Amino acid sequence: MEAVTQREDLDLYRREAMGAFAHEVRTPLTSIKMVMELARRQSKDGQLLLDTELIDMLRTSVEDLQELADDLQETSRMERGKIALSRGPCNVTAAIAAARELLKGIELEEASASVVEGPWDPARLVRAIAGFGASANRIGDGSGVVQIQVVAKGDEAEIRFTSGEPGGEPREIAADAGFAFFRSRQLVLAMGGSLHCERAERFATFRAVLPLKAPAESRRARL
Amino acid sequence: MKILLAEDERTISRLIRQVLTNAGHEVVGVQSAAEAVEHLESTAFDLVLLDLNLADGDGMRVVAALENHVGATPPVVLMTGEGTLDADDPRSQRVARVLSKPFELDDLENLVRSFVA
Repeated sequence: MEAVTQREDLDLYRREAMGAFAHEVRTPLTSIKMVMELARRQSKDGQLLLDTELIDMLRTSVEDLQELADDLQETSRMERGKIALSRGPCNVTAAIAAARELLKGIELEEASASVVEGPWDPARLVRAIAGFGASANRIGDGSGVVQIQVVAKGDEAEIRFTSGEPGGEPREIAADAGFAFFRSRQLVLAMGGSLHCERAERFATFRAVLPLKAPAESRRARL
Repeated sequence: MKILLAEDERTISRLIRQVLTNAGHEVVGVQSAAEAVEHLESTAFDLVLLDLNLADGDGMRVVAALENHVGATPPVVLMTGEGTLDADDPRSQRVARVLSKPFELDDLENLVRSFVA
C-alpha cells in the first residue's frame, strides 16, 4: 500500500513538474516572438532590423530557455541516477551565502547561525537552496523575504524555508511552485535527503532533510 | 486608452509597453499584484492587462480586489503561461478575455483595439 502511495506521489510530482516546465518555457518564447515581430515591423528592404536593446532581449530569452533545458535534463538524469555527485564537505552557511547571489529580489533571512557541515554536493546544494527560496516566496506571501533555518539533529541536518504565516486551507504543491521547486526537490533526493512541505493560502514551508553522513558511512554504521 | 499593465517579466513588459505606446495608448507598468491594486485604487484605467503569475502571488488577487470594488471597474485581460484555459475554468469566467502566452503582437493589438469604445 505504501509503495502504491509513493508511486502516486511520484506521478503527481512528475505531472506538476512538467506543467511548471511548460509554463515557464512560454515566458522566453513570448519575448522571442515579440522581438522577432518588432524587428520584422522595423525591417527595411527585406532586412530585419535588430537594435542593441532587442538583441539583448533575445539573448536573455535564449539564455533562459537554455537554462530551463539544462535544468530539465539534469532533473531527468538525477531521477534515473545518472549523475555522479561531488561529495562535500559542504558548509550550509556558505551555501546560503552563494544562493543569495543567485536570487534576484528575494532575501533569505537566516534565523539561526549554527555551523552545519555535511557530505553534500556544494554546487548543487547552492542551487537547491536558491530554488526553494524562490519557490517558497512564489507560493508563500510573495513579500520577497524567505526565512531560512538550519538545524542539525542526530544524523541529519534540516534546512527549513518559510514564507508567510500559517493558517487557512491546506493546499497541495502544484505546478505554480515553479520548475525550480521540482528541480530542487530532485537535488535533495539525489543527495540522499527527503523533503517535507506544507502549504496554505499565502503560506509555504519546505523542510529539506539531508544526511550528515555519506551513504556508505551510514550503511557501515548500521551494520 | 489608459492601460494598466501588470507583468513581472521585464522583457515582456518592456515590449508590450513599446507596442501599445506606439499604437497611441498610455501604459502604466507595474510588476506585482500589490502595486496593481494600489494603482487601481488611486487611478482610473480603461483596461487592465494582467499576468496570471506575478512575483508576489496569483494575479487573481487583483481580479478579486476589482470584484470587491464598488462602482465601475475596467475590463481585465488575463495573460497566462498555462496555455489555453478551459472555457469552464472559473478564472476565465471572472475576466473579460484570456490571452495565452506566447501570443502574437497582432493578437494583442487587436484585443486592445476591441476595448476601445
